[in-house]
Amino acid sequence: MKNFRLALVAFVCLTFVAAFSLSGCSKGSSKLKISSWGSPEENQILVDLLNDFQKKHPEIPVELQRLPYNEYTTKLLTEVAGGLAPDVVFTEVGNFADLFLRGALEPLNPYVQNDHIDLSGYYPSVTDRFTVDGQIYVIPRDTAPICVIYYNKKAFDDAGVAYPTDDWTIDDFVAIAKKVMKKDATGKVTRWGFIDDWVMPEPWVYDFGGSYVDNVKHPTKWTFAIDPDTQKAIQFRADMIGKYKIMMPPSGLAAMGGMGTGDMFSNGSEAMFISGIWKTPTFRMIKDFKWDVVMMPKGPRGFRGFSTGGSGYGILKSSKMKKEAWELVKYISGEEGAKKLAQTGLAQPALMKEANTTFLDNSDPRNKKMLLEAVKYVKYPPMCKNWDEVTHSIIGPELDKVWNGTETAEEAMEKLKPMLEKNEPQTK
Amino acid sequence: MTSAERKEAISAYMFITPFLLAMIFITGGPVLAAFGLSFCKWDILTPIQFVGLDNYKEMFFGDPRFWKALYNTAYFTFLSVPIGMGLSVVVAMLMNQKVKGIAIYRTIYYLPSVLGTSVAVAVLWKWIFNADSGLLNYMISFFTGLPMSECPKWLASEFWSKNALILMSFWGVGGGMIIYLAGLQGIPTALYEAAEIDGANRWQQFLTVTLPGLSPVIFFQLIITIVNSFQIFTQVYAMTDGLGGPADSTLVMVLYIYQKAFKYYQMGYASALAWVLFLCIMLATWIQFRYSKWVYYEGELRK
Repeated sequence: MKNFRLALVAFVCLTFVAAFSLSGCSKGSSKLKISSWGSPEENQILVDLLNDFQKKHPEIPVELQRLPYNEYTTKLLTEVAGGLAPDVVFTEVGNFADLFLRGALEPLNPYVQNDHIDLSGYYPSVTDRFTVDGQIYVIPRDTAPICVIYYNKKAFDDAGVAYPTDDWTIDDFVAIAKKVMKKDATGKVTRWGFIDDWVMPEPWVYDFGGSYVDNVKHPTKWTFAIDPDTQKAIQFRADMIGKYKIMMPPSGLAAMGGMGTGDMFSNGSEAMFISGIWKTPTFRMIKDFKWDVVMMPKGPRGFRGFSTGGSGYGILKSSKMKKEAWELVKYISGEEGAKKLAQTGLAQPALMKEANTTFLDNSDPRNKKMLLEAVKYVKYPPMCKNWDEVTHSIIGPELDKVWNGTETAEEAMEKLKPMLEKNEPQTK
Repeated sequence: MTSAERKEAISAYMFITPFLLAMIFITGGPVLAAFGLSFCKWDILTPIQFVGLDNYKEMFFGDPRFWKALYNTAYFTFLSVPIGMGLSVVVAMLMNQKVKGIAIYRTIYYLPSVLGTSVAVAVLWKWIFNADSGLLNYMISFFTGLPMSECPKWLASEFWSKNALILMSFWGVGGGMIIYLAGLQGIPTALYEAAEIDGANRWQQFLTVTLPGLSPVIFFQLIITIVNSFQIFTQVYAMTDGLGGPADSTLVMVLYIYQKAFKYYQMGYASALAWVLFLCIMLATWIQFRYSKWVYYEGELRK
């Protein structure tokens, strides 16, 4: 009987605890909230900028919300739906479409005109991405053409191969990659010729003159499976694995247990590595060898095209402090923001003046000036809601078979045709 | 009802009340909301739009990935559950021997279950499964003399990836072992003595005393492990970077629901998928209860 009473008391207590913890949810504060993602180094730039902004505008208290990149858009959309969204958002070329197409972003033309901001100071190819039907929605921070091939100078010296130059072709690239590889006595590769930062067909697709959709701004259908240049590009990436054997096969990659291909460049087990310029601060820590960057080789048809990163700051429509939010956006994507960014080497500012000066200091990589040229050739993902789903869930799994060598690019395209026809680009 | 019986019933209800309350107030809302959402189209931001049975129609007649996910989940469940349970019983019987230092052995076998199915464990297994330099292929090549390049490519191969997940699930046999061990120790020794007097050998004792005595525990474990393996997620997410690759070969239902809901913002469709998974699990559990005559409860009279 005693135990019974004890249990009853415990039960009542527990119920109360549960009830209280449920009602403990609080409301948002009156601070100006900005959300962002990024490595500690990248985050520090923003923290410094916000501190400076705070000194200039003590009347606008700012709060930074740092989110993981992978969950960024999901978290933002959920916050918007729940009425707890930030005022200013950091966004990049990819998730810009997710936010824009759902009507989450405030058009910024009135603010720009009101303050006489001269947008022509930014790279046109970048402002163009964030402009839809004449309205700009995001003030660009940086551009990041994915055309940066980092190369290990020691690997080239060991093999007696001259360093690559920006005017090289795809054939030069393959020949060089073969030469700079290294194997041990058993034939096991100890240094690969080339690798990408992640499974990255896009730069090759664009460099070969291929395409994903008919019209990037207003896509109506996928051209991926019917564009012969796209098919050639896909086959080329597969050939780097299966035919030329210059790139590590997926079996090595799929199970690296947390190690990224970037780490493999750092420890010398890759001679060349493609990514954006943002790897620079990480690679500056390399002690064992010297390295530089070179532009991705010219495509077989003689012209260039690169996929790109790049980001900027926008204001959410749901914000109740739009005026203050604009002050912040203006400051961090303006000259001072661009300067801070350029100094870290992390990114090429979208503001041309800073890209041409601060960014081009004497620090490694010496050849980063090629990015000033490369930015002209950048290509953007199509403005549709299902870009991520189509590339990751329809095209991606089929291409896995091409990378594994169980299917040719041509066979994959045949299978993809009906699937892509069924899943049209969603623009509404 | 006597007063003792009533008291017992009240105690029983109080024991389950916290869970029941949590179920109603915390899980209940989302479950119902998901049911409603499964008939709608919703991308979190734009207004919810009622679409009737469209999500279900699309799922059954227009979505090959749904069938793929269902197949992968079923494949995983039907192989990992029986083999895993068998292993657990065998290990439990070994751990039930009266030898010196048995407590240490039990601890060792139980340790992996303490770590559970965390991301850290998945990363560890990623290393083990590495085709070119992983421990598993190293061992295979050591014992069979095959060069490592001809060993299975595990996570990188469409054929082996699911089997790799199944292998990895045996990491948790210790969890089942503990429960079977408790079950084994609950079987009265008098029964074994009686069987021995009747001339039963060890195998006959196992079949006629151990298995029936263990059957309620096996039944409980069967239900729980099937429910759990239908919901496999963490390991796959961590090992395939959330993609379920290569070529969708490890795309399981919960991962697919996650992708649809939180990567592609199709909350309605994801809810419909969740409900179908829920019904599958219900059905599997119902079948098990329906055909549970083999379960023997002590003190129960067989009619």
